Formats: sequence, C-alpha cells, structure tokens
Amino acid sequence: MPTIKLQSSDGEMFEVDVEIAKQSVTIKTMLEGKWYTGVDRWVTPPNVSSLICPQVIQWCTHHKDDPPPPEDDENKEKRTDDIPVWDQEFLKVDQGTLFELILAANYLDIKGLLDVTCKTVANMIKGKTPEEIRKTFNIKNDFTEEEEAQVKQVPFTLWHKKK
Amino acid sequence: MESPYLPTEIISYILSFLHITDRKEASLVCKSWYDACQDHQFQKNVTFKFPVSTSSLDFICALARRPRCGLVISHLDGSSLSRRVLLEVGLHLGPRLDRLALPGSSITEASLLVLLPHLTGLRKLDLQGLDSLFMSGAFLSREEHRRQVQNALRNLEELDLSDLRYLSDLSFNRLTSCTPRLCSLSLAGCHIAFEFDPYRGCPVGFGSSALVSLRNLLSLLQKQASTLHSLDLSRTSITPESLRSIAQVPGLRLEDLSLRGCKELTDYSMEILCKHQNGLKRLDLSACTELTSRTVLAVATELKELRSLSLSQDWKITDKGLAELMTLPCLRSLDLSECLHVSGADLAKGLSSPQPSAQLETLSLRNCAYIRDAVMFSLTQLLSRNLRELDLTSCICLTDLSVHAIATYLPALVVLRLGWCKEISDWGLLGMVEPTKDCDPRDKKPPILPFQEKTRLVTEEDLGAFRDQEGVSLLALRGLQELDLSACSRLTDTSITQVLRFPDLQRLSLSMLPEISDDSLVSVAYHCRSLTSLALSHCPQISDQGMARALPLLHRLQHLFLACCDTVTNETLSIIALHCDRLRTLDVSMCKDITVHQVDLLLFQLPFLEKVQCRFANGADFTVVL
Repeated sequence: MPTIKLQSSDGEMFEVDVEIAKQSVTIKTMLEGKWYTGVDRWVTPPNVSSLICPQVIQWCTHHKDDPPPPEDDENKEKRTDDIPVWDQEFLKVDQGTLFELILAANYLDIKGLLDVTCKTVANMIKGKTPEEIRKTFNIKNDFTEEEEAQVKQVPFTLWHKKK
Repeated sequence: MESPYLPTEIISYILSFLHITDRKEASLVCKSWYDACQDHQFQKNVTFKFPVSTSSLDFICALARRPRCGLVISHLDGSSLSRRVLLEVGLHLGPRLDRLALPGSSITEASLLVLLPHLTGLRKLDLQGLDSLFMSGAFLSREEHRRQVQNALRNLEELDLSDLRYLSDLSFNRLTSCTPRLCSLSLAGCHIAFEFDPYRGCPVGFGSSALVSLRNLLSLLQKQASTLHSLDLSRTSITPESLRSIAQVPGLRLEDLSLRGCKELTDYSMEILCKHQNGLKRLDLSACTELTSRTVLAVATELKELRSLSLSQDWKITDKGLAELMTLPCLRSLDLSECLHVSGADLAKGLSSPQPSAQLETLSLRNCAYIRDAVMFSLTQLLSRNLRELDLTSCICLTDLSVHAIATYLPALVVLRLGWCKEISDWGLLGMVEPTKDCDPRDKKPPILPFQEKTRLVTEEDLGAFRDQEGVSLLALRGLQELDLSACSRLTDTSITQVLRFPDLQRLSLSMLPEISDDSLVSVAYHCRSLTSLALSHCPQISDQGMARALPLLHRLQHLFLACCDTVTNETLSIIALHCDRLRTLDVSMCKDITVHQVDLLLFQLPFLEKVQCRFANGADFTVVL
C-alpha cells in the first residue's frame, strides 16, 4: 500500500496511507500535481503541529470508507444534531485542540472534519447570551460602550422600538 | 489555555450552522464575530419591520450602508413625520430597496408618489389594505406620474393589491401599466365583478371606475401571460365559470394559485383548471367547501409537478383519492386540516405503493379525529425521514403508541403539534411502556419493525408486539423548534422535566396542563434557553416562585401567555420587567391578582411590549352590562 509522509510544523514525520490522506483535498491535489515526482514523498502542511497531526490522521483513518460528503444546499437549513457518536467522543477535547483541529481541517480541506468540528462549536454557542459565549471561549469584549450601543441599535433582525 | 485565533471565514462558517436568533447573540460578542456576521450569506433577504416613529429616521440613515434589503413600515399616515420617513427611504435606500410593504397605514397618494420613482430596483411592492390610496380613484391619473413610476417599476415582479375596497378597473389598469412584467399578482379579498356590474345591472365593459371586472383581469392576464406565474384570488368569491376562463387564458402557465375561501368553486371547474394549468406547483384550496374527492383525483391525475397542496377546511373531502395523491413525486407539503372524514388509511396505502411517491416535509392532519394509532404507526414509517412539520392537533384518538412511533421514525422533525391529544401521557413522552405486563426494562433498543423486508400496512397484531417493547423518548427529536402539548391533560412534571430539553426550541405551549407545577417551568427554562414564545395559560399550579426562577434564564422571550393563571400576581410582572427586555406580547387575562395599573407600568418599562391582554384581570366583574 503506497504511503505518504506528513511533516508537522515542528519537524516530526507521520506516515499514512495515500488513500486515507486523499480525504484531504489539499493533499490529493498536491499528489496529482505534475511537479510531484519524488519517490520518498512527503507533505508539510503549515501550522499543523505534531499534536494535531496524529489526531487528524486518526479521524481520517476512521472515516476512510465514508462516501464523499454532499454539496452544501444553500436553501437547506443546516443541522447540528447529526454528529456521529464516534466523532462526538473523538471531539471531547479541550477547546484549544478543538480550534486547532478546525484550522487543520480548513487548511487540509477535509470537509467532513471541518463540518463536525464547526458543528461542535456551534452547539456550544446555542442558547447563550453574548456574555456567556465570551466566558465559554475566553473572548475579550473589545466593543467600546458607544460601539456596543450602536451595534444593538441596528440589528440585522426584526427588532424595533416603540415611539 | 488560550485558544488560537480563528480567521473570519471560519467564524462565519461556524455561525452558518446557527439559527438567526443565535447569530444575533453571537454578533454582540466581539468585533471580529460582528464582522463575521456581516458576511454576505447572512445579509441576503433581510427585512426590517418597524412602526414609524421619530427614531425611524436615524434607523433608515444607518441602513444606507447595507446591501439590498426589504422594509415593512407600519402606521404611516398623512403626518409630516410619515412624509419625511418615506422621503428618507427614497434618498438613502433608493435602488437598493428590494421589497416594500406599508401595512396598517393610511398614506396619501402624494407621499407615495414622492417615494416610488426612487425605487428603481424594487422587486416586490405590497399595497395591501391601503384604501387611502385608491379611495379617490385619482392615483396615477396624471401622465407624468405614470411615466415616473413606470420608469422605476418596470422590473417589478411581485405586486400585492389584496384587501383593497376601492380598487377599480381604471386604477388597476393605470398601476399595472407601470408594471408590465409581473410574475406574481394578488387580488385577495378584493371585490371583483365576475358576472355583472351590480351598479349598472348588465355585463361589465372595460374601464369601470367602481370595481375590478373579470374581463379586465383576463385582459391583464393575457397581456402578461409570459411572465405571470403566481396568482392569488383568495376570498374573492370567484365563480366556477370565471375560474374556467382564467384557466384557459392562452399562454398562461401558472405555477402558484391561491383560491382560499372561494366557496363557490365546484369540482367541475377544478377539473378544467387541472387540465389546462397542469404546471401548477402550489395550489391552495382551503375553505373551498364545495369541493369533494373528485377534485383530489383530478389533482392527482393532472398536476404532476405539484409541490404544495392545501385542502384545509374542505370538509367534504374523504379518504378517496388520497392514495393517488401520494404518488405525486414532487409533493412536499400537504394540508388536510379539518378534513373531518379523513382517516389516513389511504395516505398510508398510497405511500406504500411501489411507484415513486411523495417525500412529504410538511403534513397537517389537524382535527382529523378519525386518525388512529394503527394508521399513525404505518404513516410514521412510510413518511420520509425528512418530515419537518407534523400537526396532529385534536387527533383525539391518538395515544402514547403514536408518540413512540413519531419519536422513533421521524427524527428530523422541527415542528410537532399534539395539542388536545388527551390520551397522551408521561409514558408516551418518556418512551416507556406502562408496566402492565412483565417486560424487561433493560432492553432499551428501538422497537423491531414487524416488517423489515417489505413495508406493508400495520395490523392490530403488529401493534400488540410494538406495545410490549420500549420505544424512544421525545428527546430523540434533537432539532425540534416548536412543540405544542396544550391540553394533553395527563402530562405531569415527571415527563416534562425529563424530556423537554431541546436546545433549539423556540415556541412551546404547555397551556391547559393542570398537573404541571413550577418544577416543569424551571426545568424547561433551564434546558430550552432559545425559547421566544411560551404559553402556560390555564396552568393553575404555576406561581410567582416558578416565574422568579425561570424568567432570568429566558433571555430571548418575546411572547408569554399566562391567561387564567390564578397564582400569578403582580410579583411576576416585576420579574418580567427585570429580565424580559425583549418581550412583545403578554397575556394575563383573567389573572385575579394582577392589576391593570401594574400592567400599564410594565408597558412603560419594556421598550418592545406592544400587545398586552389583561381583560378581566384583577377579578373584574364577568357580567356584561348592556
């Protein structure tokens, strides 16, 4: 079985089956590129650390037999209640790791992984007030008081004030 | 641990999975999240709705920087403020205004004529109920006005002229001459002379200045047949002969037709309609009470592209023809509410036929009291797993078995209405079997279908086997946004506290449940933070203490119904004032211990509160003085 090596940003090498690696559209494109002729092949995705790389490989290995994800239908309402159980367990990680996985999935263009990680974060936002969201993700409120008042005044939904 | 920075496109992608109410909260978190919410995909088709007020002027100026949007401005009148608002809309939004509606207004012709020429990009104009415009009959009577308006509205696609009492052939022709390429026209609720002019007593000629005539309408339909696809003639009492003439206008290919409340229509005229307009995708025949199953058969035979059909309140409809209806491959939405004779058996038969069948997303069987568990059990398995909305209000024969079946086989439900299904109990919601027999409680697998290989209709024996197994609780419906359990009087705290845990739930009705207490209320508030509408009317055990614990958790609440809750007092109003700053509707009718004075105070304190019902509050005398 042909394999390919992935080099993390801190120099470690990970070996993975080409077929599994091809779930990443980025890697698939590189492998099909004409300039890629080396026998001992490796890819260096930037910003994917040696901690995240094996996790991405683990996800791709588990999902290697999945059918290709369907195209996003613009009119269809997106759901977040359909994350498979294995993925839910896999994503029981700290927030930093979760965000790194999102970034890795984005760079490597692995739609399935990007979807489940983003859905997980979306589920953490549902039902919360802005202050609660800030607490959950440790985000600083960088609106000035004036800006905050202005933003609340021109909402993009159906609020309106009486006379 | 500090989380890594996420680029804006990724934040937008995460936010795209959220409902708009959650996105609104997310936009207020920090600047980068606000920017992510300004992403183009979220700004499409946004409509701003507000009553005219002094703050409207600033608001409209602020809208100037936005991409295309729609406006719904209400309560406009002849005052100088209203005139200025319309002027500002024209100046600041002009060609970027996509849709405009002016409900509940009484504007003058002059002020509208100041605005219209600026709206060169307008796609949809809604003039519903604007009698003030058409009363004098002089609207657009001047050539130069018509030229200005025509210049602007030549690409208008949708025109709503519903409920206009004074619309006449003359004004209708003047307006539609400015809009030559209409796709959609509504004349719902207008007086149309279908046979003869009641003022002259003879067949109407062209150009009546008193009312709209059929002949004139036909002439318009013919002129614009190449673009016109959608027509609304609800509540016009259109005659069968007139419908036949409209159906046979040469070149007219309707996709969308609404004939709600047209009580004179007959089966024969519907058959002609189906034959000539077989490209129909949406057909609304609600309250056309003379129609029978003959119409259903005609629809099923001819309208192969039909996506949406309403037969609501057509009480003469029976099961006959429904099986054939289910073979329409594009059918997605079916409304059979108040079709009292429908038992559902033929729906199941149609869905289990080998031909490609309807993949329903919306189904209403409201008030179809003959629907029974066996039929419901078959239907839940045959209805596509994409079913989003199911209305079974007042299907009084349904029991816990149907609830189990729904929870097991319809996981994608977004709207579920089971109001007045009085047989439903805690067992149904919990997905458990009432222990009348020895059954193994550890066996929690979903029930095995009696017919795994080939679907067939369920019999009583199958139902017996299902009865002995445990099912899935209502918690399985993870995407639920609306749930109606009003008047399911056997429900108690036990199931409500365990099962009502839906993160996306926005509208919930628990009215008329005498057994539920504050525990249910607090549990619902804790687990369903996205609630915008909550109904607890006629729940005698809900008290101020429950409200005090629950309301601080319901930040998004806009509509609260507490009619006839005798243990709710002015205390609750103070709590509402403190925590529910987005409240728009409040019903405290017939609450003994709530005073009108406190209610007035609340109206003053809450900026969005508009509709308050407090009739008979404070123990007011029920006797009517004539």
